[in-house]
Amino acid sequence: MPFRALTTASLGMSAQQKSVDNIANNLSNVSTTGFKKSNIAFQDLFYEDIAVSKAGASANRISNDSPRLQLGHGSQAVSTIRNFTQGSISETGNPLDMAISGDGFFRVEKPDGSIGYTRDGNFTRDSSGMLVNSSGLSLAEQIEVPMEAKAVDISQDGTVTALMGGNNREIELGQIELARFSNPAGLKAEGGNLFSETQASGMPFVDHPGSEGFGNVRQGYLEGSNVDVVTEMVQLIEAQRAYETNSKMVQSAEDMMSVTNSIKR
Amino acid sequence: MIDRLQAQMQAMQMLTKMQDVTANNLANINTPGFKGSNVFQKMVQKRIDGQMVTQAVPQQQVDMQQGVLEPTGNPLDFGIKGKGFFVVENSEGAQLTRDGRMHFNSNGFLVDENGSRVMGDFGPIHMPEYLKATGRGGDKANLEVADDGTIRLDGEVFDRLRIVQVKDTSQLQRKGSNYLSAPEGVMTDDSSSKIMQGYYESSNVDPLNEMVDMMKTTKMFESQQRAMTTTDQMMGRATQQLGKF
Repeated sequence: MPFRALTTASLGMSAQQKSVDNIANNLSNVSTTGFKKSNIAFQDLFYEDIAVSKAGASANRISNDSPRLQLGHGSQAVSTIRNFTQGSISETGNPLDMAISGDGFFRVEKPDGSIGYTRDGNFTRDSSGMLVNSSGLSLAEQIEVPMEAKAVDISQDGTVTALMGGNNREIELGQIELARFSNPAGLKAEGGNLFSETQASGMPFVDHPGSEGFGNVRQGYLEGSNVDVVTEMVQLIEAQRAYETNSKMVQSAEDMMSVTNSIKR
Repeated sequence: MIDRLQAQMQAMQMLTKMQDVTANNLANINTPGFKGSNVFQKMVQKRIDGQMVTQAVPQQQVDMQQGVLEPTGNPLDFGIKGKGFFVVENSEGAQLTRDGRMHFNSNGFLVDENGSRVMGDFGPIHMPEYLKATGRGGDKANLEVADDGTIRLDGEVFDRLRIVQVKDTSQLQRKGSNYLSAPEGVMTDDSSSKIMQGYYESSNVDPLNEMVDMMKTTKMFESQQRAMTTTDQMMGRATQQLGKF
Protein backbone atom coordinates (compact mmCIF):
# COMPACT_ATOMS: atom_id res chain seq x y z
CA MET A 1 0.00 0.00 0.00
CA PRO A 2 1.61 3.25 -1.05
CA PHE A 3 1.50 5.24 2.15
CA ARG A 4 4.27 7.78 1.68
CA ALA A 5 3.98 9.04 5.25
CA LEU A 6 5.26 5.68 6.45
CA THR A 7 8.47 5.75 4.44
CA THR A 8 8.95 9.49 4.99
CA ALA A 9 8.77 9.02 8.75
CA SER A 10 11.07 6.01 8.63
CA LEU A 11 13.66 8.04 6.68
CA GLY A 12 13.31 10.75 9.33
CA MET A 13 13.96 8.12 11.97
CA SER A 14 17.04 6.78 10.24
CA ALA A 15 18.45 10.31 9.85
CA GLN A 16 17.96 10.94 13.57
CA GLN A 17 19.48 7.55 14.26
CA LYS A 18 22.66 8.70 12.50
CA SER A 19 22.67 11.78 14.68
CA VAL A 20 22.41 9.61 17.80
CA ASP A 21 25.24 7.39 16.51
CA ASN A 22 27.40 10.46 15.97
CA ILE A 23 26.69 11.81 19.45
CA ALA A 24 27.52 8.38 20.87
CA ASN A 25 30.88 8.56 19.09
CA ASN A 26 31.53 12.05 20.47
CA LEU A 27 30.62 10.94 23.97
CA SER A 28 32.75 7.82 23.82
CA ASN A 29 35.71 10.05 22.88
CA VAL A 30 35.18 12.47 25.72
CA SER A 31 38.62 11.67 27.11
CA THR A 32 40.46 10.82 23.88
CA THR A 33 43.59 12.95 23.51
CA GLY A 34 43.30 15.46 20.68
CA PHE A 35 39.80 14.32 19.66
CA LYS A 36 37.65 16.78 17.70
CA LYS A 37 33.90 16.44 17.93
CA SER A 38 31.64 16.34 14.88
CA ASN A 39 28.06 17.20 14.04
CA ILE A 40 25.72 15.75 11.45
CA ALA A 41 24.28 18.01 8.75
CA PHE A 42 20.73 17.28 7.63
CA GLN A 43 18.96 18.14 4.40
CA ASP A 44 15.49 17.53 3.04
CA LEU A 45 15.13 14.91 0.32
CA PHE A 46 13.67 15.51 -3.12
CA TYR A 47 10.04 16.40 -3.72
CA GLU A 48 7.37 14.95 -5.91
CA ASP A 49 4.84 17.22 -7.55
CA ILE A 50 1.40 15.72 -7.25
CA ALA A 51 -1.13 16.81 -9.80
CA VAL A 52 -4.39 17.09 -7.93
CA SER A 53 -7.57 16.95 -10.00
CA LYS A 54 -7.50 20.18 -11.93
CA ALA A 55 -11.08 19.92 -13.09
CA GLY A 56 -12.53 21.95 -10.23
CA ALA A 57 -9.89 24.59 -10.44
CA SER A 58 -10.09 25.42 -14.11
CA ALA A 59 -13.86 25.88 -14.02
CA ASN A 60 -13.45 28.75 -11.61
CA ARG A 61 -10.27 30.10 -13.13
CA ILE A 62 -7.99 29.84 -10.13
CA SER A 63 -5.36 29.11 -12.78
CA ASN A 64 -1.76 28.23 -12.05
CA ASP A 65 -1.67 29.10 -8.37
CA SER A 66 -4.19 26.45 -7.42
CA PRO A 67 -3.56 22.80 -7.10
CA ARG A 68 0.13 22.30 -6.65
CA LEU A 69 1.01 19.84 -3.97
CA GLN A 70 4.63 18.97 -3.37
CA LEU A 71 5.15 15.90 -1.27
CA GLY A 72 8.56 15.50 0.29
CA HIS A 73 10.34 12.23 0.84
CA GLY A 74 11.82 12.98 4.25
CA SER A 75 15.28 13.97 5.39
CA GLN A 76 18.78 12.63 5.10
CA ALA A 77 22.06 13.02 6.94
CA VAL A 78 24.41 14.38 4.29
CA SER A 79 27.72 15.01 6.01
CA THR A 80 29.57 15.29 9.26
CA ILE A 81 30.99 18.67 10.13
CA ARG A 82 34.03 18.47 12.37
CA ASN A 83 34.56 21.13 14.95
CA PHE A 84 38.23 22.09 15.40
CA THR A 85 37.97 24.30 18.46
CA GLN A 86 40.76 23.98 21.01
CA GLY A 87 40.46 21.24 23.62
CA SER A 88 41.57 21.86 27.17
CA ILE A 89 45.33 21.47 27.75
CA SER A 90 46.46 19.61 30.83
CA GLU A 91 49.86 18.91 32.30
CA THR A 92 51.20 15.37 32.21
CA GLY A 93 54.82 15.87 33.23
CA ASN A 94 55.98 13.47 30.53
CA PRO A 95 58.74 15.34 28.63
CA LEU A 96 57.79 13.83 25.28
CA ASP A 97 54.11 14.81 25.48
CA MET A 98 53.26 17.82 23.35
CA ALA A 99 50.14 19.91 22.99
CA ILE A 100 49.45 22.49 20.30
CA SER A 101 48.12 25.70 21.73
CA GLY A 102 46.47 27.30 18.73
CA ASP A 103 46.08 26.21 15.15
CA GLY A 104 47.95 23.38 13.41
CA PHE A 105 48.50 19.63 13.26
CA PHE A 106 51.47 17.37 13.94
CA ARG A 107 52.57 15.48 10.85
CA VAL A 108 53.23 11.75 11.21
CA GLU A 109 54.30 9.27 8.59
CA LYS A 110 51.83 6.49 7.92
CA PRO A 111 53.01 2.95 6.99
CA ASP A 112 52.20 3.62 3.30
CA GLY A 113 54.53 6.63 3.32
CA SER A 114 51.82 9.29 3.17
CA ILE A 115 51.43 11.95 5.83
CA GLY A 116 48.73 11.84 8.50
CA TYR A 117 47.72 14.84 10.58
CA THR A 118 46.96 14.71 14.27
CA ARG A 119 46.43 16.89 17.32
CA ASP A 120 47.39 14.01 19.59
CA GLY A 121 50.87 14.84 20.90
CA ASN A 122 51.36 11.73 22.95
CA PHE A 123 54.86 10.82 21.67
CA THR A 124 57.36 8.26 22.97
CA ARG A 125 60.71 6.86 21.90
CA ASP A 126 60.74 3.55 20.09
CA SER A 127 63.52 0.96 20.39
CA SER A 128 65.75 2.83 17.93
CA GLY A 129 65.17 6.20 19.62
CA MET A 130 62.78 7.66 17.02
CA LEU A 131 59.96 9.89 18.27
CA VAL A 132 56.76 7.96 17.55
CA ASN A 133 53.14 8.51 18.51
CA SER A 134 51.06 6.05 20.50
CA SER A 135 50.31 3.98 17.37
CA GLY A 136 54.02 3.73 16.54
CA LEU A 137 54.00 6.22 13.64
CA SER A 138 57.09 8.41 13.52
CA LEU A 139 57.01 12.19 13.15
CA ALA A 140 57.43 13.33 9.55
CA GLU A 141 60.56 15.23 10.66
CA GLN A 142 62.17 11.90 11.68
CA ILE A 143 63.58 13.08 14.99
CA GLU A 144 65.85 10.56 16.63
CA VAL A 145 66.75 10.88 20.30
CA PRO A 146 70.14 9.28 21.05
CA MET A 147 70.31 6.66 23.77
CA GLU A 148 72.79 8.70 25.82
CA ALA A 149 70.41 11.66 26.06
CA LYS A 150 69.71 12.57 29.68
CA ALA A 151 66.92 15.00 28.99
CA VAL A 152 64.98 16.26 25.99
CA ASP A 153 63.81 19.82 25.68
CA ILE A 154 61.19 20.98 23.18
CA SER A 155 60.87 24.71 22.78
CA GLN A 156 57.63 26.50 21.86
CA ASP A 157 58.76 26.83 18.24
CA GLY A 158 59.26 23.06 18.03
CA THR A 159 63.06 22.89 18.30
CA VAL A 160 64.06 19.61 19.96
CA THR A 161 67.35 19.60 21.87
CA ALA A 162 68.89 16.81 23.93
CA LEU A 163 71.21 17.08 26.91
CA MET A 164 73.84 14.40 26.45
CA GLY A 165 74.72 12.25 29.42
CA GLY A 166 78.51 12.03 29.12
CA ASN A 167 79.64 15.65 28.74
CA ASN A 168 76.49 17.64 29.54
CA ARG A 169 76.55 18.99 25.99
CA GLU A 170 73.36 20.19 24.34
CA ILE A 171 72.76 19.09 20.78
CA GLU A 172 69.93 20.06 18.48
CA LEU A 173 67.97 17.08 17.12
CA GLY A 174 65.64 18.86 14.74
CA GLN A 175 62.58 21.07 14.57
CA ILE A 176 59.00 19.88 14.58
CA GLU A 177 56.81 21.49 11.94
CA LEU A 178 53.04 21.89 11.94
CA ALA A 179 50.52 21.83 9.11
CA ARG A 180 47.49 24.05 8.67
CA PHE A 181 44.57 23.84 6.27
CA SER A 182 42.42 26.53 4.74
CA ASN A 183 39.34 24.40 5.40
CA PRO A 184 40.11 21.96 8.25
CA ALA A 185 36.43 20.91 8.29
CA GLY A 186 37.14 19.15 4.99
CA LEU A 187 39.75 16.83 6.53
CA LYS A 188 38.94 13.14 6.55
CA ALA A 189 39.01 11.37 9.89
CA GLU A 190 40.84 8.07 9.67
CA GLY A 191 40.57 6.80 13.22
CA GLY A 192 43.58 6.45 15.47
CA ASN A 193 43.33 10.25 16.03
CA LEU A 194 44.57 10.78 12.47
CA PHE A 195 43.23 13.01 9.72
CA SER A 196 44.19 12.99 6.07
CA GLU A 197 43.98 15.77 3.50
CA THR A 198 41.22 15.79 0.90
CA GLN A 199 40.25 17.98 -2.02
CA ALA A 200 37.89 19.85 0.29
CA SER A 201 40.52 20.60 2.93
CA GLY A 202 43.03 21.88 0.38
CA MET A 203 46.79 21.47 0.48
CA PRO A 204 48.54 21.81 3.84
CA PHE A 205 50.60 24.88 4.70
CA VAL A 206 53.65 23.72 6.64
CA ASP A 207 55.68 25.93 8.92
CA HIS A 208 57.31 25.83 12.31
CA PRO A 209 55.20 26.38 15.43
CA GLY A 210 54.79 29.95 16.55
CA SER A 211 55.04 31.48 13.07
CA GLU A 212 52.13 33.64 11.96
CA GLY A 213 48.83 31.84 12.36
CA PHE A 214 50.37 28.69 13.77
CA GLY A 215 50.01 27.54 17.37
CA ASN A 216 52.81 26.95 19.85
CA VAL A 217 54.05 23.57 21.01
CA ARG A 218 53.85 23.04 24.77
CA GLN A 219 56.13 20.36 26.14
CA GLY A 220 54.80 18.20 28.97
CA TYR A 221 51.16 18.89 28.18
CA LEU A 222 48.45 17.04 26.27
CA GLU A 223 45.36 18.46 24.59
CA GLY A 224 42.15 16.84 25.78
CA SER A 225 39.05 16.15 23.72
CA ASN A 226 36.92 19.18 22.79
CA VAL A 227 33.70 17.27 23.47
CA ASP A 228 31.44 19.09 25.88
CA VAL A 229 29.30 16.53 27.66
CA VAL A 230 26.46 18.95 28.45
CA THR A 231 26.08 20.08 24.81
CA GLU A 232 26.18 16.49 23.63
CA MET A 233 23.53 15.49 26.16
CA VAL A 234 21.24 18.29 25.00
CA GLN A 235 21.75 17.24 21.39
CA LEU A 236 21.08 13.64 22.36
CA ILE A 237 17.76 14.64 23.90
CA GLU A 238 16.86 16.62 20.76
CA ALA A 239 17.72 13.73 18.46
CA GLN A 240 15.92 11.22 20.63
CA ARG A 241 12.73 13.32 20.76
CA ALA A 242 12.80 13.89 17.03
CA TYR A 243 13.18 10.16 16.59
CA GLU A 244 10.20 9.61 18.85
CA THR A 245 7.99 12.11 16.99
CA ASN A 246 8.79 10.36 13.73
CA SER A 247 7.97 7.00 15.26
CA LYS A 248 4.54 8.40 16.22
CA MET A 249 4.03 9.26 12.57
CA VAL A 250 4.83 5.65 11.65
CA GLN A 251 2.16 4.62 14.13
CA SER A 252 -0.40 7.05 12.72
CA ALA A 253 0.27 5.92 9.17
CA GLU A 254 -0.15 2.36 10.33
CA ASP A 255 -3.48 3.30 11.99
CA MET A 256 -4.67 4.88 8.77
CA MET A 257 -3.72 1.80 6.82
CA SER A 258 -5.69 -0.42 9.17
CA VAL A 259 -8.67 1.96 8.90
CA THR A 260 -8.43 1.69 5.13
CA ASN A 261 -8.50 -2.06 5.39
CA SER A 262 -11.61 -1.98 7.54
CA ILE A 263 -13.62 -0.11 4.87
CA LYS A 264 -14.60 -3.48 3.47
CA ARG A 265 -16.34 -5.41 6.17
CA MET B 1 -25.46 7.13 -3.37
CA ILE B 2 -22.54 6.08 -5.50
CA ASP B 3 -21.58 9.76 -5.73
CA ARG B 4 -21.36 9.87 -1.97
CA LEU B 5 -18.94 6.99 -1.88
CA GLN B 6 -16.87 8.77 -4.49
CA ALA B 7 -16.71 11.97 -2.44
CA GLN B 8 -15.76 10.09 0.68
CA MET B 9 -13.01 8.27 -1.16
CA GLN B 10 -11.62 11.57 -2.48
CA ALA B 11 -11.64 13.01 1.02
CA MET B 12 -9.66 10.04 2.30
CA GLN B 13 -7.13 10.35 -0.50
CA MET B 14 -6.66 13.98 0.35
CA LEU B 15 -6.21 13.27 4.03
CA THR B 16 -3.52 10.76 3.12
CA LYS B 17 -1.66 13.48 1.21
CA MET B 18 -2.00 15.85 4.15
CA GLN B 19 -0.51 13.20 6.38
CA ASP B 20 2.37 12.84 3.91
CA VAL B 21 3.11 16.55 4.19
CA THR B 22 3.05 16.37 8.01
CA ALA B 23 5.37 13.35 7.86
CA ASN B 24 7.84 15.34 5.76
CA ASN B 25 7.69 18.27 8.17
CA LEU B 26 8.39 15.95 11.09
CA ALA B 27 11.22 14.17 9.27
CA ASN B 28 12.89 17.58 8.82
CA ILE B 29 12.49 18.71 12.41
CA ASN B 30 16.29 19.01 12.76
CA THR B 31 17.15 20.12 9.21
CA PRO B 32 18.83 23.56 9.31
CA GLY B 33 17.03 26.28 7.39
CA PHE B 34 14.06 24.02 6.67
CA LYS B 35 10.70 25.71 6.22
CA GLY B 36 7.64 23.61 6.96
CA SER B 37 4.66 23.21 4.65
CA ASN B 38 1.09 24.10 5.43
CA VAL B 39 -1.71 22.35 3.60
CA PHE B 40 -5.17 23.78 3.48
CA GLN B 41 -8.28 23.11 1.45
CA LYS B 42 -9.89 25.46 -0.97
CA MET B 43 -13.57 24.99 -1.72
CA VAL B 44 -14.26 25.09 -5.43
CA GLN B 45 -17.74 25.00 -6.91
CA LYS B 46 -18.40 23.93 -10.40
CA ARG B 47 -21.35 23.05 -12.52
CA ILE B 48 -21.67 19.50 -13.79
CA ASP B 49 -24.74 18.68 -15.88
CA GLY B 50 -26.58 21.66 -14.48
CA GLN B 51 -25.83 20.69 -10.87
CA MET B 52 -23.57 22.67 -8.59
CA VAL B 53 -20.87 20.41 -7.18
CA THR B 54 -18.55 21.48 -4.41
CA GLN B 55 -15.05 20.15 -4.40
CA ALA B 56 -12.18 20.66 -1.98
CA VAL B 57 -8.83 21.27 -3.63
CA PRO B 58 -5.74 20.95 -1.45
CA GLN B 59 -3.22 23.78 -1.52
CA GLN B 60 0.21 24.01 -0.09
CA GLN B 61 2.15 26.92 1.22
CA VAL B 62 5.70 27.32 2.47
CA ASP B 63 5.54 28.47 6.07
CA MET B 64 8.02 31.36 6.19
CA GLN B 65 7.98 31.71 9.95
CA GLN B 66 11.42 32.46 11.42
CA GLY B 67 13.35 29.48 12.79
CA VAL B 68 15.48 29.78 15.93
CA LEU B 69 18.97 31.17 15.24
CA GLU B 70 21.51 28.87 16.87
CA PRO B 71 24.88 30.39 17.75
CA THR B 72 27.93 28.45 16.56
CA GLY B 73 30.72 31.02 16.69
CA ASN B 74 31.89 29.90 13.25
CA PRO B 75 32.49 33.05 11.13
CA LEU B 76 31.23 31.25 8.02
CA ASP B 77 27.83 30.30 9.45
CA PHE B 78 25.10 32.74 8.51
CA GLY B 79 21.51 33.01 9.62
CA ILE B 80 18.84 35.24 8.12
CA LYS B 81 16.52 37.23 10.32
CA GLY B 82 13.58 38.08 8.11
CA LYS B 83 12.03 36.66 4.98
CA GLY B 84 15.03 36.63 2.63
CA PHE B 85 16.97 33.78 1.03
CA PHE B 86 20.61 33.22 0.13
CA VAL B 87 21.14 32.65 -3.57
CA VAL B 88 23.44 29.78 -4.59
CA GLU B 89 24.18 28.42 -8.02
CA ASN B 90 24.35 24.76 -9.01
CA SER B 91 24.10 22.96 -12.33
CA GLU B 92 20.34 23.60 -12.42
CA GLY B 93 20.70 27.35 -12.05
CA ALA B 94 19.99 29.68 -9.17
CA GLN B 95 18.62 28.12 -5.99
CA LEU B 96 17.33 29.73 -2.84
CA THR B 97 18.28 28.49 0.59
CA ARG B 98 18.07 29.46 4.24
CA ASP B 99 20.79 27.02 5.24
CA GLY B 100 23.75 29.34 5.76
CA ARG B 101 26.50 26.95 6.79
CA MET B 102 29.18 27.82 4.28
CA HIS B 103 32.91 27.45 3.75
CA PHE B 104 35.58 28.35 1.22
CA ASN B 105 36.59 25.58 -1.16
CA SER B 106 40.19 25.10 -2.21
CA ASN B 107 39.69 27.42 -5.22
CA GLY B 108 38.64 30.29 -2.99
CA PHE B 109 34.92 30.23 -3.77
CA LEU B 110 32.40 30.53 -0.96
CA VAL B 111 30.30 27.37 -1.17
CA ASP B 112 27.50 25.77 0.84
CA GLU B 113 27.13 22.21 2.18
CA ASN B 114 26.46 20.86 -1.33
CA GLY B 115 29.42 22.64 -2.87
CA SER B 116 27.21 25.13 -4.76
CA ARG B 117 28.68 28.59 -5.15
CA VAL B 118 27.14 31.34 -3.05
CA MET B 119 26.17 34.39 -5.04
CA GLY B 120 27.14 37.93 -4.17
CA ASP B 121 26.30 41.20 -5.86
CA PHE B 122 28.80 40.49 -8.65
CA GLY B 123 28.24 36.77 -9.26
CA PRO B 124 29.78 33.93 -7.23
CA ILE B 125 31.70 35.13 -4.18
CA HIS B 126 35.38 34.50 -4.88
CA MET B 127 37.93 35.44 -2.23
CA PRO B 128 41.25 33.62 -2.65
CA GLU B 129 42.64 36.38 -0.41
CA TYR B 130 40.84 34.77 2.53
CA LEU B 131 42.53 31.42 1.93
CA LYS B 132 45.91 33.09 1.67
CA ALA B 133 45.25 35.00 4.85
CA THR B 134 44.07 31.95 6.80
CA GLY B 135 46.84 29.81 5.37
CA ARG B 136 49.58 32.14 6.51
CA GLY B 137 48.53 34.59 9.13
CA GLY B 138 45.24 33.01 10.14
CA ASP B 139 44.59 34.91 13.32
CA LYS B 140 44.88 38.14 11.41
CA ALA B 141 42.32 37.26 8.76
CA ASN B 142 39.21 38.82 10.15
CA LEU B 143 36.17 38.08 8.02
CA GLU B 144 33.26 40.23 9.01
CA VAL B 145 29.80 40.16 7.54
CA ALA B 146 27.59 43.10 8.41
CA ASP B 147 23.87 42.62 8.89
CA ASP B 148 23.19 43.90 5.37
CA GLY B 149 25.44 41.14 3.99
CA THR B 150 28.54 43.28 3.25
CA ILE B 151 31.65 41.09 3.50
CA ARG B 152 34.76 42.73 4.89
CA LEU B 153 38.18 41.10 5.16
CA ASP B 154 40.39 42.97 7.61
CA GLY B 155 38.18 46.03 7.25
CA GLU B 156 38.27 46.08 3.44
CA VAL B 157 34.95 45.64 1.63
CA PHE B 158 35.03 42.67 -0.78
CA ASP B 159 31.51 41.73 -1.75
CA ARG B 160 27.97 41.49 -0.49
CA LEU B 161 25.87 38.36 0.01
CA ARG B 162 22.94 38.45 -2.36
CA ILE B 163 19.67 38.17 -0.45
CA VAL B 164 16.38 37.94 -2.28
CA GLN B 165 12.78 37.82 -1.20
CA VAL B 166 9.82 36.10 -2.78
CA LYS B 167 6.69 38.02 -1.87
CA ASP B 168 4.26 35.46 -3.22
CA THR B 169 5.32 32.32 -1.34
CA SER B 170 3.03 30.17 -3.48
CA GLN B 171 5.59 30.65 -6.28
CA LEU B 172 8.27 28.87 -4.23
CA GLN B 173 9.04 25.39 -5.38
CA ARG B 174 10.84 22.89 -3.18
CA LYS B 175 13.91 21.23 -4.64
CA GLY B 176 15.28 19.12 -1.80
CA SER B 177 18.84 19.44 -0.43
CA ASN B 178 17.61 22.50 1.50
CA TYR B 179 16.91 24.36 -1.76
CA LEU B 180 13.87 26.14 -3.04
CA SER B 181 13.48 27.86 -6.35
CA ALA B 182 11.29 30.56 -7.78
CA PRO B 183 10.80 32.02 -11.25
CA GLU B 184 13.24 34.87 -12.02
CA GLY B 185 10.50 37.48 -12.18
CA VAL B 186 9.17 37.14 -8.65
CA MET B 187 12.53 37.42 -6.87
CA THR B 188 13.23 40.88 -5.55
CA ASP B 189 16.37 42.11 -3.81
CA ASP B 190 15.83 42.21 -0.12
CA SER B 191 17.22 44.89 2.12
CA SER B 192 14.97 44.35 5.12
CA SER B 193 16.41 40.96 6.19
CA LYS B 194 19.34 40.96 8.59
CA ILE B 195 22.33 38.63 8.24
CA MET B 196 23.57 37.16 11.49
CA GLN B 197 27.18 36.00 11.31
CA GLY B 198 28.12 33.08 13.56
CA TYR B 199 24.60 31.70 13.65
CA TYR B 200 22.62 29.21 11.63
CA GLU B 201 18.87 28.92 11.46
CA SER B 202 17.28 25.74 12.72
CA SER B 203 14.16 24.17 11.25
CA ASN B 204 10.95 26.14 11.86
CA VAL B 205 8.86 22.99 12.27
CA ASP B 206 6.97 23.08 15.54
CA PRO B 207 6.60 19.49 16.81
CA LEU B 208 3.52 20.43 18.85
CA ASN B 209 1.60 21.76 15.84
CA GLU B 210 2.63 18.84 13.70
CA MET B 211 1.59 16.27 16.31
CA VAL B 212 -1.82 17.92 16.58
CA ASP B 213 -2.12 17.95 12.77
CA MET B 214 -1.14 14.32 12.68
CA MET B 215 -3.78 13.28 15.23
CA LYS B 216 -6.40 15.46 13.57
CA THR B 217 -5.75 13.93 10.16
CA THR B 218 -5.84 10.41 11.55
CA LYS B 219 -9.17 11.06 13.30
CA MET B 220 -10.66 12.72 10.24
CA PHE B 221 -9.53 9.76 8.19
CA GLU B 222 -11.29 7.43 10.63
CA SER B 223 -14.53 9.37 10.57
CA GLN B 224 -14.54 9.43 6.77
CA GLN B 225 -14.14 5.68 6.89
CA ARG B 226 -17.13 5.42 9.27
CA ALA B 227 -19.19 7.56 6.93
CA MET B 228 -18.17 5.33 4.07
CA THR B 229 -19.20 2.21 6.00
CA THR B 230 -22.56 3.82 6.80
CA THR B 231 -23.14 4.69 3.16
CA ASP B 232 -22.28 1.13 2.30
CA GLN B 233 -24.77 -0.18 4.89
CA MET B 234 -27.49 2.13 3.60
CA MET B 235 -26.88 0.96 0.09
CA GLY B 236 -26.96 -2.63 1.24
CA ARG B 237 -30.26 -2.11 3.07
CA ALA B 238 -31.81 -0.27 0.14
CA THR B 239 -30.91 -3.09 -2.19
CA GLN B 240 -32.29 -5.65 0.26
CA GLN B 241 -35.55 -3.82 0.99
CA LEU B 242 -36.23 -2.89 -2.59
CA GLY B 243 -35.45 -6.42 -3.65
CA LYS B 244 -38.50 -7.64 -1.71
CA PHE B 245 -40.89 -5.95 -4.05
